[in-house]
Amino acid sequence: MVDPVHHLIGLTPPITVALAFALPLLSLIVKSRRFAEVYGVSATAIAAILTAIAFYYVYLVKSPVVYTFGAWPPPVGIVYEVDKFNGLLGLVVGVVFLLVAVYSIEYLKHRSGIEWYYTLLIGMEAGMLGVLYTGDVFNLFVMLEVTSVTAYGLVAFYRSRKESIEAALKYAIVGSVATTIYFIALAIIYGSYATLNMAQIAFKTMSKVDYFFYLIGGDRLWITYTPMIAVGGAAALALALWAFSVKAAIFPNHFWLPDAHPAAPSPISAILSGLLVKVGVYAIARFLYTLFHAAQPEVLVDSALKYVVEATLYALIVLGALSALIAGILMVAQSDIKRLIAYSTIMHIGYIAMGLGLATKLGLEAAIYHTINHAVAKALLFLAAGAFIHVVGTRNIDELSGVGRLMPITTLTFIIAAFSLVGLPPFNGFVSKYLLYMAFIEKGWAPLTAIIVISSSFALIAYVKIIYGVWLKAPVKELKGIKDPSPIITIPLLILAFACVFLGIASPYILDKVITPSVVDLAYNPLNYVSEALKILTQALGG
Amino acid sequence: MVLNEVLSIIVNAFVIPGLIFIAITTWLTQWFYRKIYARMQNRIGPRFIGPRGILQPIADFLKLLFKEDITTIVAREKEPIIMLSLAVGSLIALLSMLPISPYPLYAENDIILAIYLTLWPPIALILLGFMAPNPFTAIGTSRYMTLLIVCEPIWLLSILVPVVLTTRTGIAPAYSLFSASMNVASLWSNPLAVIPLILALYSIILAFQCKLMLRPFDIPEAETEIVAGPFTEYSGPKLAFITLLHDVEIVVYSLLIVWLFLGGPAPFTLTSIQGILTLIVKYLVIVFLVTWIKASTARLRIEQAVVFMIKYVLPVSIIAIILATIIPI
Amino acid sequence: MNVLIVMIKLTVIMILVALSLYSTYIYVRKHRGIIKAKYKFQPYGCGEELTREQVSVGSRGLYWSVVSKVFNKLYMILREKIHTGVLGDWFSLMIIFLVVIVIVLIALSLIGVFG
Repeated sequence: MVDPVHHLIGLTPPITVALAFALPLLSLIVKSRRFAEVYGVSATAIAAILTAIAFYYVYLVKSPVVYTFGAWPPPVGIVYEVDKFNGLLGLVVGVVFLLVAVYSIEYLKHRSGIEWYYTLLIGMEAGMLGVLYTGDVFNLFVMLEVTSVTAYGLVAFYRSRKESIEAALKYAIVGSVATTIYFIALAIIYGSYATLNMAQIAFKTMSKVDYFFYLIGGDRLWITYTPMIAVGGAAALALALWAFSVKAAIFPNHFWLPDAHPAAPSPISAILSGLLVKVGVYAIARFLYTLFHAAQPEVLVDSALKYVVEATLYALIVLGALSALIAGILMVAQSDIKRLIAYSTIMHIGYIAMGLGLATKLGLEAAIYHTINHAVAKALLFLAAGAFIHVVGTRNIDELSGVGRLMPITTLTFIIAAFSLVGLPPFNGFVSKYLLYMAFIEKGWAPLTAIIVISSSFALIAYVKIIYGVWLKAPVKELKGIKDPSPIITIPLLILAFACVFLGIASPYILDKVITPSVVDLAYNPLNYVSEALKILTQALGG
Repeated sequence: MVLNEVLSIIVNAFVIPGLIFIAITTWLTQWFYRKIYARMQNRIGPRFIGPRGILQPIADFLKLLFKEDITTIVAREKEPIIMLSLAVGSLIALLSMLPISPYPLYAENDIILAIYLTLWPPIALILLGFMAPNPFTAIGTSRYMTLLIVCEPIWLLSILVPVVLTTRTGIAPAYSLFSASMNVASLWSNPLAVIPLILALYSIILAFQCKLMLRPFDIPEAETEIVAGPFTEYSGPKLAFITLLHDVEIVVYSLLIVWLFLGGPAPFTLTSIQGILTLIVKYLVIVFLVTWIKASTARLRIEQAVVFMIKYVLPVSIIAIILATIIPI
Repeated sequence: MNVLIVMIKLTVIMILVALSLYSTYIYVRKHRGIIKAKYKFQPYGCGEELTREQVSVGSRGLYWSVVSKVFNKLYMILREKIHTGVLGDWFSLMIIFLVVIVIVLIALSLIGVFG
């Protein structure tokens, strides 16, 4: 008997998809703006509750949770497999989406087409949760496409602006090339490993036995293992990681980001920078650490794959360092407030990639904690910048001068977010950067910490530029009638600012109870991930 | 138990190495370097207040503190003091991680925490410069930020050198400012370890000079050129706090170098008279060195300074940290 | 002791010290009345009158001119060669990267298999 909570967890993405597609139909009947807004907020609230249930369940009851669609066992049907790692990221996605949906009510109140906006927003949440929760590499492709297509649409939401359309087109072309390349990788994976289930692939990279044949035929039906499978694995890993690095905007695949993120409405920029790039990071981590066991290369059955995985890790460190440095240098040169913040996203993704490339426990903790901290702080930064833009109506830092003096709450939250991303203690960004430094020093690569310092100091002066621009500078023109926006905007800002401080102050507890278990689930306990899925297969076969 | 914790925090914050200790040290240090700086320039220096002018720094501070507080119509009124107080607080917090504190706060891997605490004063100075909008403050502050980009990585790498070296000898807690300061003295007898230590000492003293805007890196506040750089608009109590922060920075960073590189009171212990005397002598040597460089050099241009740091200091610190990670101990 | 607990203690120390210094300032301010002389509160301009527009610096002229003098070559390469904004240029870079990573990883696995 399956625990009913499993249904709730497994059905989170499908429920969200259904909610998304019901909205246009319902808005044909109820032609009210208020209805679309209430519907959007309640749908994201439902998704947030479901992700919270999943988080609670995997942390306190049982991990991982495997949900089989239509009760078809793993290699035949699609499974969703939630462990502590994706359960945690799912919770972050749910909460940030809820806050953004609330914020959007006020931010877009003068725009038409709000029902389409919320349709795409909920659709993107469904896609993201699908990418996170899925236990099937092909389903990951589908959900990645759902996320990406809704994202292209939302970037082009201001359809009367030239730069939005241009950015959306560029983003769409680059993004669809990436997903196509990932599709080729899927073909190679299926050709090499004869399965698309993540747990089974993870098992096959560990042992020469095919679990499925092993179950039905005892020890009679071993598959003939050829070493050339390793070559297929290498090709698949190369193509898939390239595709994910486009989604995650790691150098040299980051070009689309500084165009796409500023062109979208500010709440969407918050989601794109805070969460969407993290989906790419999640996929990289899942492929490298769960499917190809990068943290413990000794369990890999094939020595050929060991070289491949190690080379990939080095490449991640080098590319992450380059991302951080290049984004840092270009960040200071920007005079568009949102473009500057978008470059900072590339920099922080560089840090996360460096943490992932280290393949030590500390490095992974740093990467995962930084993923969450950056999601919170960057969402806050974009939403606060959006509040300035909403009130004044321009994105140019020079034209915003002195506005911050009249908007104290927005300015305070903006400064908290900026200090958190620069990494000042006791904010959350400091804790994860600290872990990253220690991971480098512990591995004996202390000179590389200079890269983090240099890029952080670039980031510091870039943020000081905004703080100077919006808060400290003398107002150039008379500012009349400018004040903090309504609580619909400021309450999400204050919640996120509180989260920034809380994730910093409570970090000893959070690291111990939340981050470390998720690292263990991601990288150090492959048998657990595999056996939960394959147990269902055994039961289905009556074994 | 809780009482003990509270007591340790209060002692750290207000007695040693807190406000009382820092006030006395800052006062004497300022007198010392003003005196020797004057001698190097063929002047006499502070003279009238107290024996040999020893009370002059206090008199200056009090005079500034009780002067009129002028804030221009475009400037911020109280935020500069908040930032300056936080910066002084961060430096005292840094001192309470050193063995000089009776209740030192330390843990494994706390070195990055110490380095990030030293980031507060530059941030305070940058925001301070921008809080009083003026063409001179803008030029000065932007120069200071440019210097920081090259000076921060050097600062980090050179501080890491003794910490990495002492940790490799196997002491616990690892990568801690406290344990590194307690054990660095034994490294000076190892000829292989001396090389990275000397290279790091060279680069940290130049980074010190750069962080504190002392000549030849006084480009941000270049007196004859842009009035007083970031501090152009400040007078009265705010200027008093600025000089306080500047002197506290000199004291804290000199103490940091003395402990982390020269081993503090080694070869004696801190509880003996000889130990305290050794500590004071080493401290005065560092202050003297800094003042000497300040007195005997001329100001560089900003791009000269950046190129100098990138060409002649950053590579040295990188070589030092690479040596520190690979040499056999 | 956990380093993050040390961080919290240090923050407490920092805030205690900052509070005591700040209250000193507030006390001093209260103690002496503030004289409001209009001419003193204009921004200082070496004897020149400064208008509101002249007081602040635009974000472009802030410090970028200084940095671009030193890192000029690097910045020019970044801006003119890499971040051109032309889709075709990006694609050439991205495809080169894709080809390199595929060839390198497959070569490594072949070395592992046959070597």
